[in-house]
Amino acid sequence: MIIEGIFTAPVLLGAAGFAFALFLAVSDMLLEVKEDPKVALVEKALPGLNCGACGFSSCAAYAKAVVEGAAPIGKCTSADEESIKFLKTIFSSASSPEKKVAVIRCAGGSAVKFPYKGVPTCEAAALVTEGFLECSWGCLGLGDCEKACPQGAIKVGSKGIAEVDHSKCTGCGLCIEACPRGVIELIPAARRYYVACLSTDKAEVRNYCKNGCFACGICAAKKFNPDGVVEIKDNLPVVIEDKLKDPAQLLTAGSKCPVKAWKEINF
Amino acid sequence: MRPATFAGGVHPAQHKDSSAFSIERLPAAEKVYLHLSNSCGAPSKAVVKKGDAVLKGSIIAEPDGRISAFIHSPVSGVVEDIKKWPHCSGKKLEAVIIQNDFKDEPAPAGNIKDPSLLAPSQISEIVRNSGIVGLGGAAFPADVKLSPPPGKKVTTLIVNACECEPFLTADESLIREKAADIIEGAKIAARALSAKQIIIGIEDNKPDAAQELLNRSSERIKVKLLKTKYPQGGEKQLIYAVSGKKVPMCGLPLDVGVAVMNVGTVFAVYEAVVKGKPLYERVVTLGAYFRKPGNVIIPAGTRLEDIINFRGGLPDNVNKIIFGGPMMGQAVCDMDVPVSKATSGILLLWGEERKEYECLRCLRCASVCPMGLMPRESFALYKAGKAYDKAMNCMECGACAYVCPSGIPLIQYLKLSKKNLSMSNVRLPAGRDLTPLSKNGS
Repeated sequence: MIIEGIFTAPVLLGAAGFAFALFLAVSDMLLEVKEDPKVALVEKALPGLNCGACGFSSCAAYAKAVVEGAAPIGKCTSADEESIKFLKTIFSSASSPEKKVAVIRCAGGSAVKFPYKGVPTCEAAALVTEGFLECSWGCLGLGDCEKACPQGAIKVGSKGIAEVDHSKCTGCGLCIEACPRGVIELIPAARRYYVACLSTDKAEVRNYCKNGCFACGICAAKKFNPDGVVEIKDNLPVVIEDKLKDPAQLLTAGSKCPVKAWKEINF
Repeated sequence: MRPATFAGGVHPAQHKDSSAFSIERLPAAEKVYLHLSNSCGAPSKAVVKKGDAVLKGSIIAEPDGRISAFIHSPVSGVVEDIKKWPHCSGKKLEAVIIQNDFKDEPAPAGNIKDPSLLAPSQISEIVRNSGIVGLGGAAFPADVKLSPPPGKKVTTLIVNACECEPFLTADESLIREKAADIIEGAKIAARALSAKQIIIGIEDNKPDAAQELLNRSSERIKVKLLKTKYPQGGEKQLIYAVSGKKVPMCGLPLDVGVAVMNVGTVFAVYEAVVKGKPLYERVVTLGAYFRKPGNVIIPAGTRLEDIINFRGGLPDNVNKIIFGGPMMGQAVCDMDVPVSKATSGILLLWGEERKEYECLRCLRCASVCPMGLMPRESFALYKAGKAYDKAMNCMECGACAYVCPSGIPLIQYLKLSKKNLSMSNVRLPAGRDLTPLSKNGS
């Protein structure tokens, strides 16, 4: 009879469904992956940017490494104070990371060799005659770092060079990889002062850039630099981190710079 | 018979107006600027100091490594300084600056032997000591080409007389006036390579020059007329058009038993071996909007500004100066840049820059690519943050960018792909053949 078919179909399907459900339930029990509940907690505390600054491929991978003890907590440079406090409640040994920020080692102002009209990325412009600036160190200002920054902390400003909003910068270092000229550097935020120039030219700098450091040596002179925290190396001032105790030392050293190459971090 | 050629390529307007001029000589300038990185490979090492007296043709720098070349002074005078000077690549590189004393005292020439008595190794030694580099544009040291590594045999020497770039006529005028010497030079080069056959490939838009060569051809030295198409003078394209052989991807002509030399290089070999004259000057086409265009012998190291002043000054409206041809040449951004041995032409150009639009995906770039690549891929993949894996085969001939209706700078994208590939150490599959077959046969 035709009416019998109506009953057979649900019965067969129901039986098959039950069998599969049983199979899934059994395999779930047999193949269960035990995960530490801490991993999920740690991952939640992390900012979830997957920026890679910790050296792991993702926040999840880092969280797992932290729980397994393979990595210290302080590796995440993007984590804010609140999440670190939270992590400290889970792990007693947690320490705050040293806060680092990216700084642009260029103040702009280099003369232009020729008007560049090619592919509008720094990477492409750096391949054409070492960049279109007379200065072969300076920021090209086409914004590869701006695109790389997950925090939106870098903008190419009115001066035609990249500028960092240090209150947003977490120091993940992605901009450093993106910059073909190596203009960006990570410095400890506690240092506060840095030199916004990378040109190793001496007096020739004056021929093409009004903001360039020409290694006059005032900042390293005994009078303004009694503790020797600044030294001139390769025609550029270098901060000797070991001797540095107070950023004010750098302030006095850099205050006399004739081209104002010493800049302060903007918090 | 249809002239032989390769698949793809473009037909830019030829503008070979300067072919009407015979070769003349540009007077030497007050100072010459000889860059130490004058050839492909390692920069040479200066052997003179500030204040040294030099004679015309005396050595001022010696090679530093195997792929490097001797540099000779084109004038007699005093070394004024060795310092960084603008180079045509846009960088500032070390250069020897010589103050010309206008006495033109030649350096004593070495013993000149009958070339038919010289052993192959002796010929390549003379070529090395004469500082000869490939004059086609890459400036690869010629002696390296003339001494193939053991185990590799060269059966055919192909002389590249295509000069497929628009505007350039330096090679053409050289063939018209010095065909006999070029044939002699080719014989000497073939002797150094122990090559049995010499084939001269020339485009069919130079009938006078081709006739000069045909008059001197023989069983051993053949002249092959090729279709006028850019880049007919590309090494792999020329080998395919002339002999039907395909150079493997990422391979050298040596892999198919062929060596390719430019006519200018072959002529320099003749001058070095038969006349004992080192390479310190070359024929350069002064083309496009020069007040006095022509084919001119220019001493290496002459400053661009001096050349322009010798030829009637810089015309108004010129907005681009190019060293080499318009397709592959290099725009220079400094009037202090000197010409080098690799400079085949100087063009003063004038005109509107092309505007860039969105890609239409018409794939015209792929249809003209002589290497059978898809230039558009490099552009699309770069936008996606990736590199085009076949970009390493690109020789940057510029045919794709020339035909692109959207004016996309495809060569720049291909260069970016190359850069990113070499950084990520992507290994290319060796030996795979990418040269497309000829569409119309030969």
